[in-house]
Amino acid sequence: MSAPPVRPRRRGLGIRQREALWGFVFVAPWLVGFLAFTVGPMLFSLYASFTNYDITSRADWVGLRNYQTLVGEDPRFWKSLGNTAYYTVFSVPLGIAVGLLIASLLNQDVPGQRVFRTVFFLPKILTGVAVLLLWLWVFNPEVGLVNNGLRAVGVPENSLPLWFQDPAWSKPALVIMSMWSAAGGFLFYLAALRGVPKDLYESAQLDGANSWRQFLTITIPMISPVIFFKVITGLTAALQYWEGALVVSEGGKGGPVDSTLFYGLYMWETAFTEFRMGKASAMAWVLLVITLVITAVQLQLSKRWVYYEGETK
Amino acid sequence: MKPRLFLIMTAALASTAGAQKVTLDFWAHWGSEQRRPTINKIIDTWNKAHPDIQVKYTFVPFDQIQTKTLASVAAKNPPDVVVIDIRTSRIRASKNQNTDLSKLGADKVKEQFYANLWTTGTYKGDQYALPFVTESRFLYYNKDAFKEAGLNPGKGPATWDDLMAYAKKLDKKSGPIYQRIGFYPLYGNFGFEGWVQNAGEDTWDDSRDNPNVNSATAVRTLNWIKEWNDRYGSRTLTSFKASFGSGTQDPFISGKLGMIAEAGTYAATLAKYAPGMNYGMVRMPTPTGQTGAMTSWGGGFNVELPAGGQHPKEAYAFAKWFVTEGARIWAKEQNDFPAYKSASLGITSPAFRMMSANMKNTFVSVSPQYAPTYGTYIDKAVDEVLNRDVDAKKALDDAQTQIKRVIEENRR
Amino acid sequence: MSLSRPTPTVKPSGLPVGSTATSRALLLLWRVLALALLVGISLLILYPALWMLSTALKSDAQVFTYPPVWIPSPPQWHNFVDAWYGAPFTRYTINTTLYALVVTAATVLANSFVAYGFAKLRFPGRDVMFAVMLASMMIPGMVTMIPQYILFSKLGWVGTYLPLVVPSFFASAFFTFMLRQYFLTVPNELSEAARVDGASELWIWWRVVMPLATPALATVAIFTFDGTWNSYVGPLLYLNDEKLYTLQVGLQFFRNGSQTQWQHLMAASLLVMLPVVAIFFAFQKYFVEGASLSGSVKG
Repeated sequence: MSAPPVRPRRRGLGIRQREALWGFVFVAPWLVGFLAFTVGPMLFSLYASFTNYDITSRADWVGLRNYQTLVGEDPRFWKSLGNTAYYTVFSVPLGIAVGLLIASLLNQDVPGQRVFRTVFFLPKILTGVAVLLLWLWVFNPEVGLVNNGLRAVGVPENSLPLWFQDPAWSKPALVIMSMWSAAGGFLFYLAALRGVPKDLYESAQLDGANSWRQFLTITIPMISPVIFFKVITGLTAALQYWEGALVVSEGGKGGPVDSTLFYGLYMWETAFTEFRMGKASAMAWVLLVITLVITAVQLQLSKRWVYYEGETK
Repeated sequence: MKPRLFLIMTAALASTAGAQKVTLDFWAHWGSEQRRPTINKIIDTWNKAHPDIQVKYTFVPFDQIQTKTLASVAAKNPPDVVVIDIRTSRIRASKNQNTDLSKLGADKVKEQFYANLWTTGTYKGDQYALPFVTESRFLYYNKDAFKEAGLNPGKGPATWDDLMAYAKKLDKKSGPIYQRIGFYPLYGNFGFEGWVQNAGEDTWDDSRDNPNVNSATAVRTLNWIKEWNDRYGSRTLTSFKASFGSGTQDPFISGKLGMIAEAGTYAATLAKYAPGMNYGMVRMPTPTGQTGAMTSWGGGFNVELPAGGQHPKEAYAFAKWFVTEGARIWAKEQNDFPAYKSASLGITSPAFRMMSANMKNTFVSVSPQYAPTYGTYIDKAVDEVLNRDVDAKKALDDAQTQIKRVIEENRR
Repeated sequence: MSLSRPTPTVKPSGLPVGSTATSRALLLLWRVLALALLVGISLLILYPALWMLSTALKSDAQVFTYPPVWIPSPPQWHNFVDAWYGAPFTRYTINTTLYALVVTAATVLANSFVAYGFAKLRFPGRDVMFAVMLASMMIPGMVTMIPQYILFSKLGWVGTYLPLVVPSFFASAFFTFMLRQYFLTVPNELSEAARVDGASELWIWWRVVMPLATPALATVAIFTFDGTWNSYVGPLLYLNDEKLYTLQVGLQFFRNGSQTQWQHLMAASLLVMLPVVAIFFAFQKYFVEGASLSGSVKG
């Protein structure tokens, strides 16, 4: 590292003010972009949530009616919220576990790292419609990989899940799919794992801590900021999730029997099939509030388990 | 004459003639190697004949064309002409998303199209869409299987009772496992609502503002399907369906189904994958054997001018040509059934002749503007009755109540 | 529970501690176990990918044979060639490459820049702004899609790459958040030292923090590249000319509403993903190197 250029301090500004000034300089790109491209559409959708906006022919003020309808009269709103909650509760922790497990294994000194890393990143690269057909085969009740596996371990033919054909099994199928896709997330943790100072482990070993103990007392705390990032972004993504429903049901309508009618899918239908963008906007803001509340709770909890080595308070 | 002067003079001539050159943006979802050559040929034909109205074709994937068009209409920067789902034209008309074609003279060509298709684009007496292609459903049956089961292969089923009786004979089991299922109403491509309409009663009134999903006919139909369902068992039907392939492994081609309800274009699939197959194709059987306006159903595509286009007159001229002369080329090369009568009669294949004869019995169900997603409530009712032993009347009453609630909510 | 780091004492060199025969054996066992697990998970992940390859080599009639066959006979290698010419893929590869490279470069720079501000500098309103940034990620895109489209249309950007590329120069919530978290794990000693020496924040960001964060930056780069490479709805919404389309839009050429030429779609999908796999494979060292803060900084 070469020596930093020495610059004379500007007169009149204290260290604090200089730092604050630099702070604004650094966040300026985001602030400008936010004001230019994001805040307008966001506020518009907030306004629209109080209207009967249908995108092309009207936008009359209706007060709280969209919100009242959702909460008070619309069973599909609650149904979709329930489906999304189910998906979130299972897919987020499992996804993080899968990513962490793979990252930890890869952090061991095993041969073939490059190949393994590439393989585990494949689920992130494989996207789009091609994957759709794939999953239909994997979960085919008769010849799919999953049921063949279950048969092999002795599950009787009549108790084999029908997966996408059965409202009771369609969501678990999607959770399994989500774990596959989550494998690619290992990269986030691996990047963080590589930053954990080796000497920490060495000294812990001297202290006689076994591998599991080291994992809990060194690895997890040291990469906890990244885990926290995955918790928050994972929650946000899961709460907005709906693509899977397109795989399960013909035409992506949320079947069988609304069992994959996720919040996002219902919002899409409301906005673009029924053209009720006002109501859809209300749904979006309800979701935003829900997400923010969960995030705030997580933020409070994080004070107990997330450890920032280089924090600036 | 110097080239530049010549250019100026032709430009002057063109402008005095009022024939300023325009370029029309035309969106449709045909991009595959099977579709592409035909659409290119149609556009080339037009462009050669109309140097002053050039059409630029853009492929827009099927799953996004409605959203993309909607966004462009909202931004007041739409394409001039689009090919779009036939069932939702009226909703778009009610939301000012497409252009009133009656003002451009569309009513004059009304008689040249099949009436059931023309009305899909009619909203409050004005025309907002021109029909392009459609299809109609038929019952296909395996003649060899008929012979094997002791049925007359020259005579397909005409009534619902025939269907049931024939199916029982066609069923083939080894132990508890079905080798062949004679028929099941919800396999193939007809659906519960299709059967209710087939029985003579629509699930909506004519205005399509008031649902009628719990009519006595609907209840009877659902119970009839339940009879089938109970005969084979839900689980058997589901796993049997999971074993359906396509192409040469299509369930009808591979002999897993003795009879199937499929679109008229299915004949082309059979010709391709099972050229030697000995099959029959008949009108959809009805409860009594009598046919009506809703004995079969079809979907299809309309051509619309999204609201706010810059060149409505030119766009209409092209759209009108496209659904008539363009449809002639399309039908010949793509085997899709055109809404333009003269184009459909120009093709004399047996399947086409059956289709044109069947148009008066083919219902195109237009999406109700206040409840375009009502189908989910019906699906739920059907599932409850078939798989959860809920009473058909009760399940359909519930669906009716829910759909009414949605309509009321959306009307506010 | 407040976690404090165990204080490091002595740094032994070479093999981890307790080089007795049993602990060596344990270590070996652990590695074998890890390897076995890795192989097992790899197979689960590869299964669908191999299925894609198998489908890509099938004939039209074989795609949905039942029960499905794994090894098509004869394999239709020409499907790959047919697929490539089924849409203007050469042009789309050029479009997509340029698009993905610009967005990736912009994203890495802009997000790390902004993340540095949020992670390492104190200024009034920082935490509020950060919260707003997170909230902007939590509003579902579908309700802001139309107003955003109208905005870009008013700017005259619809039909060009501008709506797809320009926002990436202004940092996104997701990766800024990620990099902020990562920067927060980077100890402050080095930057403090540089600051005392009179270095500007710009210099510290570029010369101190960025080099330490190589794995994280590489992660942002590959995720952005992959995400842009595979983006579909955005390009489709904003591009109105087939010549400008991207690879993912190109894949849609094989679908006609309900009919899909699966074997061609699979073949083309595999071809489309190959460059990303190759890039990932080639640039791996950046995911693991650079984080040299162990030992040198700490201890």
